[in-house]
Amino acid sequence: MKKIVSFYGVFLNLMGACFALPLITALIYQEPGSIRAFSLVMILCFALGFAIRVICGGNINDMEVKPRETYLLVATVWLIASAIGGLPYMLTGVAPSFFDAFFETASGFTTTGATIINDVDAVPKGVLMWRSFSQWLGGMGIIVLFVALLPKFGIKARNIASAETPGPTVTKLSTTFTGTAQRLYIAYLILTGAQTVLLMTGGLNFYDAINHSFTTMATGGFSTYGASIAAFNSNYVTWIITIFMFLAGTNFELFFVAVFGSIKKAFKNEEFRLYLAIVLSAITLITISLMTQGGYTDLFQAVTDSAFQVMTITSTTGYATVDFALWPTFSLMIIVILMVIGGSSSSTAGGIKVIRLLVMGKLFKREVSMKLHGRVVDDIKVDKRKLLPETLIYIIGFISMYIFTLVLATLVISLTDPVGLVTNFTAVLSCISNVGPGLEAVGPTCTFSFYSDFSKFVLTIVMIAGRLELSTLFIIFTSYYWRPYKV
Amino acid sequence: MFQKQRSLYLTLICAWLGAILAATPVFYFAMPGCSLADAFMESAAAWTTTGIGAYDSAEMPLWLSIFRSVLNWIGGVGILMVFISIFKPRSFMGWKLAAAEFPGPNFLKVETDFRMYYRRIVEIYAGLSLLQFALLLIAGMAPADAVMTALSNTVTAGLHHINNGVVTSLSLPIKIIITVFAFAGSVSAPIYVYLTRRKWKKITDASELFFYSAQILITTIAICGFIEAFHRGSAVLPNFGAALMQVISSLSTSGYVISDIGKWPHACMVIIVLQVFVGACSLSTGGGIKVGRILIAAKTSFKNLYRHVHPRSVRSLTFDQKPIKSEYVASANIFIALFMITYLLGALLLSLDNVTLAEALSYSQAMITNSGISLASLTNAGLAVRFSAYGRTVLAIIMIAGRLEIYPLLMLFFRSFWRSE
Repeated sequence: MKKIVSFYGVFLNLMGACFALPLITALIYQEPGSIRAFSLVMILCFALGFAIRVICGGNINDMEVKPRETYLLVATVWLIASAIGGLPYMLTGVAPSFFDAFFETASGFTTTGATIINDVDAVPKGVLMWRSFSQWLGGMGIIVLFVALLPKFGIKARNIASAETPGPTVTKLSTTFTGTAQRLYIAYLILTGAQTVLLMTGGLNFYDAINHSFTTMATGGFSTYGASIAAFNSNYVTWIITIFMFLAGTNFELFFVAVFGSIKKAFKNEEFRLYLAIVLSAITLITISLMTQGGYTDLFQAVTDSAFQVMTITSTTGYATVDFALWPTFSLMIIVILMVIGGSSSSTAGGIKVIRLLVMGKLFKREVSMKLHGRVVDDIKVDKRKLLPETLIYIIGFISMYIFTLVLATLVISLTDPVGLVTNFTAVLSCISNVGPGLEAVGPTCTFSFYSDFSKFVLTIVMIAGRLELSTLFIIFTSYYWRPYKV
Repeated sequence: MFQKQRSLYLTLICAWLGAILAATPVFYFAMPGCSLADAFMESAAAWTTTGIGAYDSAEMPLWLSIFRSVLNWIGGVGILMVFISIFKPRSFMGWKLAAAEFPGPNFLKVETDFRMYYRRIVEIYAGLSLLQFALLLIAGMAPADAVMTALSNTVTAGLHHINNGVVTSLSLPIKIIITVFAFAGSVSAPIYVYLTRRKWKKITDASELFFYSAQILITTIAICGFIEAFHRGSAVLPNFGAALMQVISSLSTSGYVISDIGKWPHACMVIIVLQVFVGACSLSTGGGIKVGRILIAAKTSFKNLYRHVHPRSVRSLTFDQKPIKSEYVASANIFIALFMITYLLGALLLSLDNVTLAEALSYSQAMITNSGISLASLTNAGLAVRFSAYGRTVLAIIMIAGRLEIYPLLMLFFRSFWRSE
């Protein structure tokens, strides 16, 4: 028990260290309000962290975590991170209330990108840096970062990190889990760096380039401009970001397959093929819809806009170069469907994930053949590997849980905010899949600021639940979690 | 003859598509000035018991309305079911046929002799219709209206023949009768079999009926709360009655407007409309995902959470105090996903027509649940006025998919379905 508490001590110290980056930014741009806010929060984190470690002692390296406790650890770490990370917003006056700040930070860490800030252009640069950086931290996972930095801890932390990693399975990239975590972060760092350089060659300054690289690779979607990517008004920047959003929505393990194995092998991955097929067909359909119904005359412009918007939704990033809420209904419907699907497993994207859709399709097929030919029980295979029956139950159970959460949360926020079913539905959908913008009143040019505090709180919980693949958060609210020996 | 499942489903699809296509010319020639797509949609709506129409009920000749109600009744109980129990062909075998046509997860088997079972179902619904007809006459409804109401309402088809399904002006006794029978139509048919055999224990054990009733009551109370919060000091009992009647109309997927919902707060409508997805009990004439499947899926979700705490647990799920096979658990969950995917694809096809996103989403829901009720259609009074010929054809296809629980239509896209042995 002591060790678990001391875990929070170490975590708070790490959190404090993370505030260094926005603090440096604030110092460079000489923003006294932000400097005060960040140094205050940083001191608070360090003081609390060291106090906990001194009182509880213990070395977390030899910490023994039971599988049951991991869920509590992960869920509370995310909740605490969202609460503490919101302090700078409140201290600088960017967010008017606690619920606003909580929403904004959770939206950051979960890489959702939904915002309550009406005028982004007026926010101090240090705060914006924290906003983008929080997405980058949350993208690969707070705990995964922890594991990558603390090798001895990582040996026993495999379960903890798997509770946080998107997708139904964590495959081994290395013999130790720390090795896997480190490799994931190396890929993440290299891609972020590459994008920053490419964006700078497109004429962006270093500050804008690094901010947008942070939020692209994390599939977060916060921008330093109110007009999002449309502010740059450059096709080069648009396409660079489109490509990197595609990469961020791809299974990160495939990068290692492509680099250390062969590119051919990476292309044979079933999930990747389906992901590619979904993206390409969505781009084609939306381009046709824009040319015939949407009043576009320039084909290149239509392809650019549709490719960018499809990628931003599929990878659950949530930028915008046009107000797609005004597009023809057919395009909107495709966007809604893409929001549900989301990106690949083991990527930084959210949603149901392409792998689950793939398995679902195979299950439909099996169900049909069972109805047609009686009791034929075929194995479900992905990439020639057989899936266990328990894994299948987890996958279909996840989809049911996703649907229940979506419908229930829509119902709950409709009780206090009667702003139309489409607005509320897409707001919840956007939060559970960690996309960012929805449609109609929460479209890409609008914010979530009009929601009541109650609805904001519900949406925040939905975001965190969605990021932690639902069960990690919901499990701590069940009775048998707290009474494990009761049968 | 029907050893092969393939031919069973082929019969099912042929029977339904054949019936819908056969009734199309009747509507086409009886209603001058209406297109073929209108007639097709009207026929599909009639057979699939969806409370929506292409024609204004006031312009329909009486015989056509009665014809429509008869189609409602046969479609609601099941085309093949009615056929088999009347003509008793020797070649039909197996329980699977009923399972394929009578909606719901197929583990609520009550009779070992399937032909007896078909017969009993037809008798039950015939009895309910007769009883409703008699009661409506006593309550003072015109005989023609009473016949149509008795036929349509018993199988949760809505009341399209009366003012396009907006029945707010009916007298209170008639409304009560309608509500009771809409509820009766949405309850599992096996319940009536137990009732005739006085197996009370089986009825009290039926968790689906319990949850369905609880769902209706809780929804009604929630709606009353909202009405009270928005309109202070309004009479509680009439509000409760009005809410209950509308909730049963929607949750049973009948889909008529019986209460003055125009004055209700927005939240009430959302509470009702989102629950239409759940629909009625399994093995009933109602549509939607079915309460039984939702119960199993909810149990699966909790079970998955439980297994995170106890990874080596081997306890199986129970339903009505009996363990259920894991393949039924999987099937129920898979069906929910399939239902939602079909719903989204239906909305995608509808969105090609000249409609808003809200309309595409809500009409697709109204069609796939065979309720005809949705947030957008509540204001349009059950008429598909906003759709073109293309849109109406799509509406009809979604209705058929919903009525046959999707799989028979999905099979058409599989090669193994067309390949001969």
